[in-house]
Amino acid sequence: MAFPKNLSPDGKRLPDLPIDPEQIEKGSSLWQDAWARLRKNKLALFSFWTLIVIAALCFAGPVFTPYSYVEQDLERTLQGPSWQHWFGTDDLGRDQLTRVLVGGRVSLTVGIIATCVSLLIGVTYGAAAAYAGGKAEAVMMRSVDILYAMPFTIFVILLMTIFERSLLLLFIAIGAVEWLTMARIVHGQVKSLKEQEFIEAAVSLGYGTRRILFRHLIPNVLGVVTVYATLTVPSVMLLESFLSFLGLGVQPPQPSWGSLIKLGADNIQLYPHLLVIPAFFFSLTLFCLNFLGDGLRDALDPKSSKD
Amino acid sequence: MPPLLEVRDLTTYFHTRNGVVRAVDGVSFSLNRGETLGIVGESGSGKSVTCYSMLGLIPMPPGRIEKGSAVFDGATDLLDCPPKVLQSIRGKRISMIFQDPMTSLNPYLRVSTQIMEPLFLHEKGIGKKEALERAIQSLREVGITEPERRVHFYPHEFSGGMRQRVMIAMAMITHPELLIADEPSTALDVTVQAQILELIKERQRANNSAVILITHDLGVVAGMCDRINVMYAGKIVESGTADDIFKRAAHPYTIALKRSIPSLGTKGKPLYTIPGMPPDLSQLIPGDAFALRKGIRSGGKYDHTPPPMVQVSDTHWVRDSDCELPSLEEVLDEC
Amino acid sequence: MFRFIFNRILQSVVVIFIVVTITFFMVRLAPGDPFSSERRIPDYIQQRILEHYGLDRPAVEQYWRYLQGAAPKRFRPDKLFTEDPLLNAFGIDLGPSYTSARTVNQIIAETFPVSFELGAWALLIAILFGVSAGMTASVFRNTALDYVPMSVAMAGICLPTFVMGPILALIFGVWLGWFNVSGWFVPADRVLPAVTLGLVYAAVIARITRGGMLEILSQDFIRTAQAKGVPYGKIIFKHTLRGGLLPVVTYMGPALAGVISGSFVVETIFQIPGLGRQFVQSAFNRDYFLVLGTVSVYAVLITLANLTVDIVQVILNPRLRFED
Repeated sequence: MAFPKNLSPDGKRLPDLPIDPEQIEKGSSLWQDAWARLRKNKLALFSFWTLIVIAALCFAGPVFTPYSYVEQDLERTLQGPSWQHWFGTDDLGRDQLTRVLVGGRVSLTVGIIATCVSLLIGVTYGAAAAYAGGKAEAVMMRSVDILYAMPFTIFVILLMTIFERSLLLLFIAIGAVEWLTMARIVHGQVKSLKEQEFIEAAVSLGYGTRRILFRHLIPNVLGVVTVYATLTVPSVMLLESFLSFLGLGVQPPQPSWGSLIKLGADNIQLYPHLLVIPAFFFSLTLFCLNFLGDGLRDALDPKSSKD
Repeated sequence: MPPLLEVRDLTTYFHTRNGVVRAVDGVSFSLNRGETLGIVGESGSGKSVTCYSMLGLIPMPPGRIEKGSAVFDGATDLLDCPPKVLQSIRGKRISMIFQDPMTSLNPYLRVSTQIMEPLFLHEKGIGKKEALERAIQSLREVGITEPERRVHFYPHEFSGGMRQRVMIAMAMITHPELLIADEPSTALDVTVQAQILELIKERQRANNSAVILITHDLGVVAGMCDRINVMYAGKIVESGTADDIFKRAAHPYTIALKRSIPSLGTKGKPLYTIPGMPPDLSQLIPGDAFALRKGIRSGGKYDHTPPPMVQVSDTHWVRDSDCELPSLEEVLDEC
Repeated sequence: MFRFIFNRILQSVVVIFIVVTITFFMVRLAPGDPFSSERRIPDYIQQRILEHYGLDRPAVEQYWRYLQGAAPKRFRPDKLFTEDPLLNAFGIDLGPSYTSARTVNQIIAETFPVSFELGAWALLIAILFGVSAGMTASVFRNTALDYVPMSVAMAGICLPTFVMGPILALIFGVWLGWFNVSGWFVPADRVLPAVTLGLVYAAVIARITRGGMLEILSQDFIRTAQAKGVPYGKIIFKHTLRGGLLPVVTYMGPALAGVISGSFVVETIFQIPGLGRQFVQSAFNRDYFLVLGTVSVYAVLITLANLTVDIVQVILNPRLRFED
């Protein structure tokens, strides 16, 4: 074993380490274990592959459909599914299949990018607060608490109505809401890890700050962050679709699942397929993302698993 | 008169995803009224599971009592009786106190509510006033000052030692014939440990109850128990009176446990530790489990057959073993 | 305890103040004003309009005047059920609406009761269904009674209000014809919107309840209760429920905020004359005072809910009572 002898320099026996730091450094074993556990979870695995299929369809599919998502055919508006238009056409005679796929592309892209934005801000902020400690930490986390109490959806709606709507603004608005939870989680995680015995043990063994940070703290936080990132994507997509439903998100002619559902909702009396198809894809995606997130949580953090 | 409790061949397995854990594997013993029995072993040796099995406190699934009987007072088999009957015995005729007093009391309920609960459950028709008086009396008996006021406290307003006193008061309020104490002093400060053990002894005498004391610390049972069972890997390896165990220990595991008790007069000398770890009970062990322990030398006599229990004297039984303990020097070299 | 409540009330006032301030400057600093966007009007008329509403003054002065009007000045409970309760009972004047002949006070007085009723039904449905489903699932863990409600709950979480609403309207309104697809006239009109709004939160509450109950059921003191001979039902209701429902209580704050934003969608889908639809429309129309008024109402509502949640938590959890 490369692990230093369990003896201090003056030859006295040190207490046993609760967790062998070597074990933690082998980051791969954590991920291998997690993957093995995830593979046993059939629902999570099914969700994973379904998501891959949906993403592939949305990103590659529109290339193969014979229509573009803006191409109007005012003589064939609001048609039901047919061989020419598998999912029918919308109120401007555009091919609904293409629009559902492109809409999915938009929703997924927004979901992933806005999650990355919130991840970046949240992780940095939370880790910085936990690492700073003392007064700075208290002030930083207290302001998160106060921001948490704000009716954020309302601000986002205001932001989107008042300023010129663009995808960039959408990312900013959504990222601003979602980073709070991530900051809280990372803060809590880093803080508890900081106090845990194996970090103390690493400190007492004279490991440097950077080594502790990169070898011990980050690999341990990474699991939790992965889980919550997976769970943030659906909540971002929800917010985006919510805004698009109100006409405040992605702007026409660009479709998104939210605006497609809105169109369907406006026409349920006569053309229910306009509602059912995008709603199905949207819900299926959320479903899979949530199950995958749950599965990842069980896989990466067996202690928090429910049974 | 039959013994108060007669356990025969108790076997409890846990059927987990990673295989069958044979936590308790064919344990038999008996206990007379007013007697104190110590069950000693490392964590994971099955000493707690033995007692939890008898009271139906094993989470099922994954736990399952495979076979055996535990006849209480010559009449009721605790392992095979209607749940209603078991419920009427639990907390009334058999009480239990647990290791961690910080988590064993319900933090959301007042102490009074919790102490009176066994009375309302088992002594039908008892009035609120009388129950409260009994609760206060019971707290006074375990040495809690100002019980009239403190009975209305919440658990978090007591210290660890005080909470364990509350647990004892709650367990003894129905004057049970048997008290099972699962590591009652382990989680407490050393100074409080002795007080709690003394208190259990004192309450036992006052009620003439029998006590089963579960502990990993051979030192704790020394002054308290009439008889001692030493458990290893789900089986009893040695059983006898306190004298048998402390003066004539025969099983190498018992001897190792004894040698690892720190005592006065050994200052400056290195302390003996038992090398290795207890075996993984999810693997089927056909022979002597102790022989599998790292650092233990065995002649291979019981590699494939279970070692039998051998009677040493009227009171003293030991599981046969050809294992040999490493010397102190070898143990120190290992570290 | 009283200091704690006092502190929390103070904190709530600060939060409301911050929300109003942020909203004010957000709408004020935005490019354009309610009269410049729509049709062209001669400059001198535009000037007169701006002067009439005080919009030509510096932003800080406008802000100060708005706060003066919006601050509560009295409390007359007997006047709560008059035509303009905000003004008559509290002395609050939220200013005029640019797009309507009525004042913001009047619009809120008209629309708030509708949204309040909708939200109350929705929360009732959410708590009733959520808690009972979550408890059932935790008590019968790893049986069909656990898997079925929890799978339904998971599906519920993935069907947000703007999907659930149109689908429920399609099934029960269009296909089965049991309810009207839109409107807020007869009692039956409450069913679809309230269910739509409540179901998502019922699903979340079910999951939280299950988690909370299982957490408590795994505690040592449950084993103590078992060892005392406490029957199973009593273990659940007397020993577990209190602690198990604490996370649900905590969730009520976010749940209310969610119900509010859900009401924007539900009121749009079912065309309900409530505050939510008013808010979205006013934001689109840049009706500053109406936006500010509705946001203020929401801010008060949410902080009140958070305050109540904190107090209930302290009542339920004796350990919190002595910490300050």
